[in-house]
Amino acid sequence: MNKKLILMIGILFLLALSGCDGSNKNPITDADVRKGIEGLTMEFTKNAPPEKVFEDSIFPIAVNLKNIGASDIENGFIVFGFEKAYVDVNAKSGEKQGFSIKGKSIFNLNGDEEFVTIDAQTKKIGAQSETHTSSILATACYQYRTIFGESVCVDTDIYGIRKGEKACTIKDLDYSNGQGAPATITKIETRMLPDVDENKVKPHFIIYVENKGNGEVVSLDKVEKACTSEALEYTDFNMIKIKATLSGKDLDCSVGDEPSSAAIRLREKKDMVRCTLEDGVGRNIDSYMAPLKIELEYGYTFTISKNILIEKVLKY
Amino acid sequence: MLVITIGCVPKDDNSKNKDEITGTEGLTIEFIKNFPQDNYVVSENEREPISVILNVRNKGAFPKQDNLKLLADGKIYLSGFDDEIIEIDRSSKSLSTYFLPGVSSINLVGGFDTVEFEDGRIIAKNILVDRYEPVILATICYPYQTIAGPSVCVDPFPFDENQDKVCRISSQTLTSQGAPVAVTRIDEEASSNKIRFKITIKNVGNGDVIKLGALGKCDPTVGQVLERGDFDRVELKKAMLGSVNLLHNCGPFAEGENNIIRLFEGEGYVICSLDKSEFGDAKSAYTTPLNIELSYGYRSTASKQIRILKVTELT
Repeated sequence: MNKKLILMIGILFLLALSGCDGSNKNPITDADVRKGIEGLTMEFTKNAPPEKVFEDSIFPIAVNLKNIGASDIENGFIVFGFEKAYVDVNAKSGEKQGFSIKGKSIFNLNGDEEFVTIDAQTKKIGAQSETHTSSILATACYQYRTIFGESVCVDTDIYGIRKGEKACTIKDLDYSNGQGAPATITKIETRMLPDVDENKVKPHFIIYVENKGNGEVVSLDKVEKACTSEALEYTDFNMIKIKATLSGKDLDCSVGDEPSSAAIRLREKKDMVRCTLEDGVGRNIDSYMAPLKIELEYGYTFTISKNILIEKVLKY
Repeated sequence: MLVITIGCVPKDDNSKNKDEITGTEGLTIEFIKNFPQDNYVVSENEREPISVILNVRNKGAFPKQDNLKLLADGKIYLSGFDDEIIEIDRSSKSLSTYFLPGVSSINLVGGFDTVEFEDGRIIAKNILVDRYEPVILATICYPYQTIAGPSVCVDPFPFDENQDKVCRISSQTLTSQGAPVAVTRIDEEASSNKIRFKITIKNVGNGDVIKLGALGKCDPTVGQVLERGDFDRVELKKAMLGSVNLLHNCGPFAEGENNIIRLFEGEGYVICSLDKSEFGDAKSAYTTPLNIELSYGYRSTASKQIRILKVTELT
């Protein structure tokens, strides 16, 4: 009996000791919200629209919008599309609705969500038919940002001839998990270029960008137009504005001579851009880690659909 | 209880000669736990204090208590971070000339000091990313000396096999002398009128040997950069066979008459010769100490990665 008691006390003592670890295994602010390849997600809510509706009747359409990316959406649009001969929006609702939804943050790890509801009305389906299948489309258009932040190595020893331990060495960095947005930075190659001033080197980054989401990238200023019946130009698609800084200093990511043309045009959803710190870094500084921030700004649009069955009201 | 008692019996280790100081280290540095911390969480516009404290130990045999000032040129530098994010007013500190004597028969553990960089600040507004993960690299550069005194055989008649001799010309391997550069081998070769001593030295520490005159270039953040020619240079300060100075009969040296031995892949040698005229009137072989003194600068590092999380305010 005494042995059992001693054993129990021993176990309790060990448990108490193990609980005394002061380290916090789940700190509040340690969550990495900038991961994933989605921004806005959208789905029709259950039974809105219903699977079957009668002709000449009003039915609800509700869409659940979730911002599971790491950027806030302001002044986004959702537009509904119908087969106008059979379904149209109810006079009291608009086809186009606006929305704003906050994205994920360390204090809101799931992101916000919103419901957009409209009423639609079916029309007559014709004398010869008892049923008709029609598609309801919902298209979201919104501005989004991808923010990429990483500590990168600035090594002024271009050819690696200096002896001794370095704080860091240059390496290519792969990012397959995304940054909490549909347009993602997938890879960064770092180079240190010699400068005309032989006492300086120019940090240079080759940044690979890819649209990994299930929608299309559109120009920032064409977001609203993308949610109308107007046609977009070919050049309105796949345009992403890019801004990059190293230690708070702007990198030159421009193509050609115009600094304002810091934009990427995706081809088959991918592209790369070269950004350089034109001011350079002194060669007499040993290698150090510097914060590289890249911001991509773009519009994004995608569409979901659901089929409904319109039934005639049979009276005999 | 019995086991504990047995474990407490003091052990008298007589196997080691306490006058002979060995070891392959000179000054070593290590970060004190939590200085800096592993993680920092900062908010916009905050200036979070950051302290870096290093333990400095002298595990080698230099300097003796009476010439501690020889370490005055030693410094510790901090680098590896963006100085617009981590501000440390003085990112270099001089070594103490009081607390870092070498290991000796009266101080078996060597000197110890702490170097504090206490006035650092993390400037949150300059962190434009969610997390910044620099490596704090501490670099210590200091002057050091290696002193070795192996006994060698001096035989005025090396080819006379009829004599009974107390020693014969041969080679010997040495261990270490309580310094990062060690004399590792002495090869002796005799001819009819000369004895040559090939003294092999090696960087046995885990840092870099640098020229004494280049210690000022050690600062990794400003000023001149250490060039290739500043590395792997050791000055032969003294080579005495008994009371005979061999220094003027030593070579080859890397830089003219500066008595500089160059290391190739961490190893180098110098050959010193003793003329027969300097044997004195010895008629038979005898042993005598070959006192060697090497002088050099040494650089070693310690690093610690930290993580700074920047959080936006909950609004």
